[in-house]
Order: sequence, then structure tokens, then C-alpha cells
Amino acid sequence: MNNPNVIVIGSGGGGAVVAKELGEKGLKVVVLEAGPWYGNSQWPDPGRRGAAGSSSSPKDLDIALFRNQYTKFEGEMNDLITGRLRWGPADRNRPPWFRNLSERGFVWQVAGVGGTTQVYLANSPRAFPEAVEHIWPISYRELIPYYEKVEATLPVEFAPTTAKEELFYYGAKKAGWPLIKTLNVTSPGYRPQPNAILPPNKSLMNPAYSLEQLARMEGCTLAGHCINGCPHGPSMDKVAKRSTNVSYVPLALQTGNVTIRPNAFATRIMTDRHAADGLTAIGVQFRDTWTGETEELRAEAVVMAAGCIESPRLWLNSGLPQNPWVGKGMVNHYMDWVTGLFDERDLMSVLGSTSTEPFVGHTSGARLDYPGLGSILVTGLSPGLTGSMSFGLSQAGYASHPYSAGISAFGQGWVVGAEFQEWMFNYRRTLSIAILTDDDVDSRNGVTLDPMLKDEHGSLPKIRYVPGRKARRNRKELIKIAIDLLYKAGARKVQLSDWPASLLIHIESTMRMGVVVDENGEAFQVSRLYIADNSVHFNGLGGVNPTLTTQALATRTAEKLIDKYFGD
Amino acid sequence: MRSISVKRTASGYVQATFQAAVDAVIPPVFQGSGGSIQIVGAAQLGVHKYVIRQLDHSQFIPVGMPVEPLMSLSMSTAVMLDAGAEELVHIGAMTDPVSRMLYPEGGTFSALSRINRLKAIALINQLAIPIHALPFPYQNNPGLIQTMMESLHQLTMFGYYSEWFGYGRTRCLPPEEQRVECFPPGWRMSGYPGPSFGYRGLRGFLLKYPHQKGADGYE
Repeated sequence: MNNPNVIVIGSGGGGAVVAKELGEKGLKVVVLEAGPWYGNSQWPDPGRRGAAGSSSSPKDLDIALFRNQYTKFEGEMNDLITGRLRWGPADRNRPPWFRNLSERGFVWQVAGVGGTTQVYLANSPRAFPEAVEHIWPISYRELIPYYEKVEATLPVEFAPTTAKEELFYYGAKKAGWPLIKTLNVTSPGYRPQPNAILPPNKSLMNPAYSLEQLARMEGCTLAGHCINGCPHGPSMDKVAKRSTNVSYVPLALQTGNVTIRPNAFATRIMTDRHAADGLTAIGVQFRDTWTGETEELRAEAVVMAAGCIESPRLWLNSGLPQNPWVGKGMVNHYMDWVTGLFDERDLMSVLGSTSTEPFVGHTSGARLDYPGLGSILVTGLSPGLTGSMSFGLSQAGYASHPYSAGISAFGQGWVVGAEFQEWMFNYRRTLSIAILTDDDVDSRNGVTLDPMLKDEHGSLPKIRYVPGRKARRNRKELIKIAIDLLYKAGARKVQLSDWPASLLIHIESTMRMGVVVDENGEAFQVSRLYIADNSVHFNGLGGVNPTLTTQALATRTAEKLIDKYFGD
Repeated sequence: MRSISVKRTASGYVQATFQAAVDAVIPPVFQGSGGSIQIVGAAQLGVHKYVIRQLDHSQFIPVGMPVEPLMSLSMSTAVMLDAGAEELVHIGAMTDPVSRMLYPEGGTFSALSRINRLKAIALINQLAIPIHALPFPYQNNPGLIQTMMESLHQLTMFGYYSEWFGYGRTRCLPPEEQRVECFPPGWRMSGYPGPSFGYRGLRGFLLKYPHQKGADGYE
């Protein structure tokens, strides 16, 4: 772990990609990860303090252990306070790391090797070209070869059809939307999700194989646990859902040049002033989350991939030069959620079965894209998440209750009591659609340092997100499209959640390319300091899921970093 | 704010208040096509214990702040629910009489009828209560007040429909020691079969992925 060429901070969607790309070119890399490492034999019990510090061997990856730890129970995995996949230290007896929001909402990020990709739905669309071309400092065409490389590496494939996708396609078609076949989406239409999930096992429909056998073989088994953490596959590097802990991390370790240190929270970027390069990153200070001890590590370059909140926090807590755009300009796709309820008879005529089976197949296997507005995604969650995200989360309060104004053609807001139980009793006949809005960069949104509050890692980030006029208008239009699709598919009743704006899932653009980093991902004001996470996106990509673009950029940034500082 | 009567314990007060809250969100009644039927509600399943525990586990104690006088998050939340209830009484918007029969250890909030408890939550959610008089960390903190109103609903629903009740005897143990011992009623209610190795639910593919087709479709 000593004397690496490069330190990467974070092992999520971006960090793991940079580590693999640099390692492949022969650079020695240390990755600092704040959370635990599941599925690594050096930490057989990641929730308890162990002897190991770091791991650099693919032989440490252990699928049997991983299966025991990724239990697929939504409480054990997804609970934001005590779950394995939370934003907090490995020791779940300790509280999660605090997030300080100025508006109602919460941040859905995950610490641990693989970062938030541990719970992501693996949706991997490219940006809408119109959101990049002539707007970003680099062109859309410049991104294409990097998209292709990531799509081949993960790999990305179109999602298979299960009941909920079939119903979504039926509604989309009846509503008059065309099927779009290209990855470079320039006009509205529906399509299967491009997902970083291995194709279904060819023997999935063959009863000669038990489902348990199939879950230990290569290929998706349509088990529906993408969001709960997928443990299915014959080995760690062949797990069906391609979170980076099972895709880029194994590839990085296989280079023999990458060491990953979990339970290490970066607290300061160390710099020095060089005559030629000016202010230059020379290392990272970090805190061991088990011992509380602070350590230092030096390298020739540092890559921040700590996510859209921690990367600017780290910059600010390190006292790096003032830049009015550090932490500013955050976008978040002003998300929402709509759920439809279907009759058995109607389902029978469309699907040939009486259930939408929301827990079967990819958690999200189909989408409708509308450049200029955003996207809508069919989504099926386990029941606890369905209850709490569909009916318990709303900036509208009890809008649809008789004692409160605001009822319209569809219900809106929190649903409680007998009505809530009726929805949940019919869980297997519901279809939910997530809404991702093309929102605007606004310098008032983002991350600043709290002047008062600190935790063990320094001043807390204070987070603000208030959507602007464009986002509010676009979300309204997408809601109309989603509700119309559900009714066209035969829904008898539709419920709009009206999610709070500060439900932060697709956070982007807090360290934007062109203002904080240059087009190669290097900070304008600090040499040898690169950023490779969602924060460098110039905008919200038009309202599509951000991970693939982060991975494409991380691939490109690694290439540029090598060219500049480690070329021949 | 209200003072707690000497006859009640602090934990009894918090328990009663959260019992009343989860009972309003998921009451023991279900409206089916054949009329209303009795079911097991969130309070009967003890979901309030889950909500209290999660709130207190998530409590943030800033570095450098004295821990001693700090009220637990569940206690300050219970006090806030009572502030909502008292405001409801104050503005004369209560529709049913109060009764201390159900939750004798509780305060004003738990003495309200279910519909009035929801109204009290709605008032808090609209910030239509004197937020300057709330205890830390809610005092003059509208974002957190509203987030907590979301959390009350979300945690109740997640506690009821996730595997939490199925932890059985391990329900109150630390997270690493919890084990699923039985099939939770929420899964039966919703028809969820529980975690799975897979489903033979494949209906085909709509499109084949165009790998290495470059700028295809983008002119």
C-alpha cells in the first residue's frame, strides 16, 4: 500500500473504474473507501473489527461469504439507518453519518466497496446527446468510444421482459409512443432498459435446474433483488448485477497493481506548492473508521471519486483555493413516483396472468425517454420499500384526504389507514413508475460547509436543492405522460407520490467540468488532483441515470491522467 | 412545552406517543370490497418499537457538543407530536373528544382520535405550530421537522412490510445479531413470497443490444 502512483478516493461508480484503468496501464493504485467490504475473506465479518487493513488480491474475493452477507432482506440490506447498504461506518451499532439538508428529504447514498452501485438499479443509458452537444466542454461524439468501452466491460444489455415490462410496453404503445432502438436517443419513445446486468441464464425456464442451482450459475435469475443487493452468480466477478464491487473491482485487483483499503474515510487533500505546477496534490489524510486514527498517504496524483457531496466537502475541508463553483450547481432530476392499481381481469387480458409481479425481473427493466423533459422508468420494489416510497413520502402531505384540499383525477400525497392497506393488499397488481426530470443547474443548489456542525471527519456538508421553473414544468409533463400510460395500460386507480425535491438519489454537477475541473477531469486550481464521480457532469444529462456517463468519463480521465503525468 | 406528569415515565410517554402515531398510519382495520375487517395494525405488531429504535439510532451528536443534556430524538419527536396536538386543540379543529383510555402514559397527541392524530401530523407538516418553542433539534428547523413527518410514515410502513417483525426473538438485538425467524404478517398481507433465488418469469426480449455501433442513430 506504500508509495502508490495514484490514490483514488472512493470505490463506487467512478473510483473503481479509474482504479482498474490505471492498474491496467501498470500504475500502482491505492483506493481509499470509507465503508466496509462485503464478499472479501479478509473481512469475514465486516460489521466487527478485524485485523486486516487492505486487500489487493482477487483471491480474497469470496462468493460464499458474499451470499451470506447480501441476504436479500430489504430491512437488513436497505434500511438507511441500520442496513448493510447505508451511508455509515461498517459498525452498524454506530449511527449512520449525518446528512444535513435544508429542505425535507434524505440522501440515498451507500458507503462500502462498490459505493452506491451496490443498490443502484444498474440502469445504464447514455446521456441524451442534446444535453451534451454544444453545451459540455467536450462533445457527445467524444464520449461515444468511452461509452462503448464501459458498455462492453460491464457489460450493458437490454433488460429481458417480465410481466411489469410487458404491461409498461403495452401502455406505452397504446398511448402512441414509438419504440426507440438506438442508444443515442434524440426523439421520444419507449425501450427496454439498458442495464448493467448479465443476460438471464439460458436454462432459466428449464425445470431440470432448480432456482437455487441457477442462482449459483452465471446469468440473471430475474430474482428482483437489484435494489436489495444482488448476490447471484458463480463467483464474485460473475455476479449478475454489475455493481462495481463485482465488475470493475475484480478487474482492478486482477491487474496486480491495485490495493483497496476499506474503512478509511478521507478527510484532507494534502498539497504543496511546486515551482512549475503551482499548487499540487501530494497525498491524502484519512481516518480509520475502526481505530479513529488519522493516517497519511502520499502519491504522485490524487483522484477524488467520493461522490457529489463528499468530493466538494473534502475540497472545502482541505482549504483548497476558493472557487465559486465548488459544491455549487447541484442537479438531482427532481424525481417523482406514480403507482397504478390494476384489476385481475384486465391484467389477464393483457398479460395472460393476474399479477404484475413487481418483485420479479430487473428492478427496473423498461423506460420511456423524452429528450427535453427527462425519462420515466417502470420499477418494482420489495413491499417495505414499495409502501414507504409510494405512499409514505410526499411533499404534498395528506393532499388527497377529504379534510385537505387538492384532490384531482388521481390521488396524491401520503396514503394511510385503510386506503394504504388496500393498496398494499393489492401490491401484486400494482405498477410503479419513477420519474426523472431534466432539471437546471442553479448555483444556489449544492453543498456548502456548515459553519457550526462537525462530525469526526470535519465540518459537515450542508445540502440545498430547490428545483427551478424548468424542472417543475418538466416534472409536471412527465407525470402526465406516466399517468396516461398507466391508464392506457388499464389502471383503475393511480396514485402520485409527489416526492420531496430533496430526495437525493441522482446527485450530479457539484464540481462541474469547465468550471472546477478541466475537460480532462483535472482541477483548474490544483495540479495532479482529478475528480471522477457524478460531480463533474456539466449538467443532469437531460434527465437520464448518471452512472454510465460517470463511468465513461472516469475511463477517459484515467487515460488523460496517464498521458499527462505518466507518459513515456 | 408540556411537562410530563410524575406518574408517567419518560420511556412510557415515548412508547405511548409512538404507539398512537403508528396506529394512525396503519390502524387495525382494512377496507375490503365486502366492508371493513379487522387486521393486525402497526401498534399490535410493535412497529412503534422499531420506529423509536431507528430514530434514536440515527441521532446525530455533533462533535464538541455536550451529550448529557441532550434529549433522545424519539423524546423530542414525541414532544413535537404533542405540540401539534395542542395546536389542533388550540385552533378548535378537533373533531372528536380526547380520551386517555387507550394510551394512559401518553400526552395530548395520544389522547386524540386517529383522524385527529393525522390532523396534528398535518399541522406539523405544514409548520403551522410554534416551531421556535420545539426542543432541539427541531427548534426553528423546518426542513428537519418535515423530514421527520415523512420518516414517521416511511418507518412505520417499512417496519410493517419489511422482514422486521419476522426477526422474532432477535427483534431487539443489535443489527448484526438479528435473524429472520418467521414469515412476517406484512408479507402475507401483500402476497410477497420473501427473498428468492429467482423466478421463471422470462417473457422474451424486445430488443438486442447494439454493441459497438458507435453513433448509430445520431446524426
